[in-house]
Amino acid sequence: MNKPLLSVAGLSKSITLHILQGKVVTPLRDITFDLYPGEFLGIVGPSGAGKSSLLKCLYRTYVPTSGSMRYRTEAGEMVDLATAEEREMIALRRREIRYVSQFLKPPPRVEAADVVAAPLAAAGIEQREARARADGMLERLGLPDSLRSSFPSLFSGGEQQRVNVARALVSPPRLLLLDEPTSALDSENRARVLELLLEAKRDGVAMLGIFHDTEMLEHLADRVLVVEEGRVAREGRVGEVEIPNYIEAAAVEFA
Amino acid sequence: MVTATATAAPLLSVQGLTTIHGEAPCAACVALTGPEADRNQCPECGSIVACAGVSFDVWPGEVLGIVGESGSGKSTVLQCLYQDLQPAVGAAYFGGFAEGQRSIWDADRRERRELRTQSIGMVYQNPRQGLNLMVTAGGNIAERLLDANWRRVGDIREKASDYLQRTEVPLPRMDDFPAFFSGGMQQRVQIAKALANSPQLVLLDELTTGLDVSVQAGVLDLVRDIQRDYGLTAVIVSHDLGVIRLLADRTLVMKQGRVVESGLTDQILEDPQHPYTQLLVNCAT
Repeated sequence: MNKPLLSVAGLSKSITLHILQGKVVTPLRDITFDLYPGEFLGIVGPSGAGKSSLLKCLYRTYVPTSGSMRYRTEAGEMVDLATAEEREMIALRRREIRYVSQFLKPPPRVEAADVVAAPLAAAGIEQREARARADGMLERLGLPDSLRSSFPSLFSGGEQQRVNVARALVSPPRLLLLDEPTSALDSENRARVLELLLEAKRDGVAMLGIFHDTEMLEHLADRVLVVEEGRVAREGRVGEVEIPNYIEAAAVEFA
Repeated sequence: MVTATATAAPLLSVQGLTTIHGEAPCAACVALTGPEADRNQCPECGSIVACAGVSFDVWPGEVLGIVGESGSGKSTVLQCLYQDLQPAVGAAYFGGFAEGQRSIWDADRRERRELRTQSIGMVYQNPRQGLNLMVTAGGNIAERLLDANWRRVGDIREKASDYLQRTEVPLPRMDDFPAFFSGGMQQRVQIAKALANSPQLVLLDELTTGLDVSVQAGVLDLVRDIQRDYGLTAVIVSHDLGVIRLLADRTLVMKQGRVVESGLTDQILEDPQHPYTQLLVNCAT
């Protein structure tokens, strides 16, 4: 009865850099996995393994080179995100699929609460109501009142990251793509984000999350994909699958 | 839930738009020009192929961006849509004209005038083209409303002051001539004029070019506010990727009169496929 929300099969991505004499880089090779409603799939791997490229393909910021990404819409239709029409992608981004990028690219001269309220406004929710809900979400993420009405382009990395998370969760998506959403946060703010993500999970939101922080994965992830050199190296339950500590490994190399 | 596939037709569907400037274009003009040939002048007859085979749709509530260098044909596309130019070949079906059954380029003179004055608004790069500089700011807007069959002077004046206020043109300047306004203020009056009669489609040509940076920001914020508050349907031409990033949902990239790439705006900027787009994105500061 429980059908996957997303079935990724044979997903590959190559980029031809015409401005570098046609050099070809291949960030993703033959990625296959399923994701179910309410499930959290953690993605780990060293820098440059293709983790962010995978999320960007799913959001169609990257055009996949081959493979399929079959997504079940709220209306019950199957849409291949690899080949969906642009306006279908726009509609899905508005209503169902959210993406927390590694770094917020804040629109200039827009107040934090309005950045967060934008998805609500796009869904036709009245401006004051949208703004109030955005304010509430930012408050839960510990962003002080004074910052909510200033411009995120002036914020610290951690403050921007919370604006980014708030915008993704201000109305519950069906699929949430998270690219290191807590990398710039202290433990108190990490706990706030964790609480919101656990809540979303209970509400049935399916999530794909890149984390370097294994503690977050232990709390959130049902399963983990270990990505190395663009391929799925291993996959399994947290605690059962071997996850190298890439950060410590790198630190040792530097020492 | 309404899925995208379930919604109706595009507001505008442009098919195979081709515009050639020259005394006697020859049969080889299109074949011998374009991005591969890296020229837009036909070596056989010397005609200029401003654009060729340009096709795209614009859906209600969507902002479509067109980027490309000077001379790539992007402004020609807007001029054809606003009936400033008659294309050599092509059709454009527009929801606001003949129920989308006839091309706007098959319209007769009266219909063309109606399209320009009522259904489509144009903001030119140079405010001189969109405004009569020796008619007052309020008069310019009144002109547009009269063309759209507004009749009561009180209503017209009220609407004019409403739009000037919205575009932050100080009301005491309503009865002054735009000839004596700064470039940024002229541009805001032009935007007010183009939007005052709520056209179904708005065409914006390099609307921030030539303005200093702080004034650019004001004009962009204005368009963004209108987009948010009224659900603007627009085609916006710019060589500035920052403007496109800020305003456009989808983007076409043009070079030597042809569309070389199209896609979601973030995809065009982060995963450009065509060599020219890669160059363009990597030249941005």
